[in-house]
Amino acid sequence: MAEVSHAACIALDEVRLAEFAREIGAELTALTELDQDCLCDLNSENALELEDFREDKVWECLPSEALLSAALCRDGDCFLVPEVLGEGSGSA
Amino acid sequence: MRNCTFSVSELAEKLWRGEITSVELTEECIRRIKASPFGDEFVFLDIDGAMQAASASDERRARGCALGALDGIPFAAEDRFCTVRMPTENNCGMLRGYMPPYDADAVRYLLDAGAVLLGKLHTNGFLSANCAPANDKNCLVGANRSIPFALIAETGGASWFCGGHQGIVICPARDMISRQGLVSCAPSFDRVGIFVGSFDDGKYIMDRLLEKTEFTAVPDSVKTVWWGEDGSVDLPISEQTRSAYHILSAVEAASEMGLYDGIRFGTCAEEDGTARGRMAETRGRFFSHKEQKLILFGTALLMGEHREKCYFSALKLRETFQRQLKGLFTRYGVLACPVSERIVYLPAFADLSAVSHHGMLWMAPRGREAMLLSCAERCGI
Repeated sequence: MAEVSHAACIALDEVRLAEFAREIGAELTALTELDQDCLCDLNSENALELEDFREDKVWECLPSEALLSAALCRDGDCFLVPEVLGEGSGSA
Repeated sequence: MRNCTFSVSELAEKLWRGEITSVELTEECIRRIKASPFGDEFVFLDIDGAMQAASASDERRARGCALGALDGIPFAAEDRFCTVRMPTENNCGMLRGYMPPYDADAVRYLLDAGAVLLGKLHTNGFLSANCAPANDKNCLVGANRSIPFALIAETGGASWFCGGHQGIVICPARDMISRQGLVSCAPSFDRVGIFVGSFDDGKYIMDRLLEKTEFTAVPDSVKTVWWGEDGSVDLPISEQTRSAYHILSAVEAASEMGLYDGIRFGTCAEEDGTARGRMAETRGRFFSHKEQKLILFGTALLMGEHREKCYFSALKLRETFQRQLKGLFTRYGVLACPVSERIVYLPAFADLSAVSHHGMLWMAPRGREAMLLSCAERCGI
């Protein structure tokens, strides 16, 4: 954290530095889970293709359950839906 | 006057008919501000300046030279907007006592229309970059009882919680309203908006701020997609997108706060020694604990492995997410969802225009502001 405070040009005492090192260190550790594999990639063949929403579905409520059951869940956070949404599609 | 509600359109009508004067209206606003149970929503009040402006407005109206419907209507601005007559401190020690040499563009548009600037509202300052909790902008709720409308700066989403039963928050996409003179917190997320009491007021003021945009009638059928607990669409909103916002806003905020070195900008600790030593001492003394943490966090995200794993990944995620939403909006006009801490950062993250009212957040790409207001007005019950 001393290196970071030097780069940020902030003069801090040892106590404050140690406190920040603990707090920021924990946040940075949690954030390292965010890496390329977790991103929803439009270029991937399994990416969510919103443009494939069927026109006749516009005014209907697509139930969340249908989407969830059709989704290939990567890491439990990003929802990837194979190909086209609609009847007969998206079966797991 | 004491029991009148503050609707811009109704007040403008009364001023035009001569039922009230701008001086009386401004005095009533000042009385309500002083009697407010919140008490601390205003950080600066310019009573003398406001009364002078109100008198000038009445004189213009008496001569038949009123500047428009906003002429003589009082308003307030968050203390992130530069104003010539009042300090702009942005709730930051580094800007204590700073008197800008110019008004922010958004403030100037309203002053040129004859509106009366009463004072500056409390702001979270540079900490606006954080994903804000629900009670962070209670000052707007208090101010809504005292003034007809307020000019706000939106970054992290705190304003959307105020669009409940107390009022309506309207915020077009980034740079639709000039940010010149807005103390920058996170440049790619900062936006200018307004807090008003009715949709008519919102349309009128947005016409003025967006300069000649006419909010004409929209088609009866608007394709609206609902996203929420009973919603029809699941978007890849997750802790990943929230984390990406957190990363990018922190990096940008740290960069913006890097300008305040006590030499070019900001106040200065009088220390002998090297220039760098003076800068470090100044920033260590005048930034708050939370601001220092935000600076260090944003700086750390650009160093070592975090630069690739966090910062560049967040940039890519944001771009991907924006492209996905673009596809959604080719099919739907407006996206609607309940306001919650989970999604309030979305309009800034995805660069969408948004309206908040009755606990709902309505979002659409730039250019659909009239559609947004129409949907929110028709569906907000």
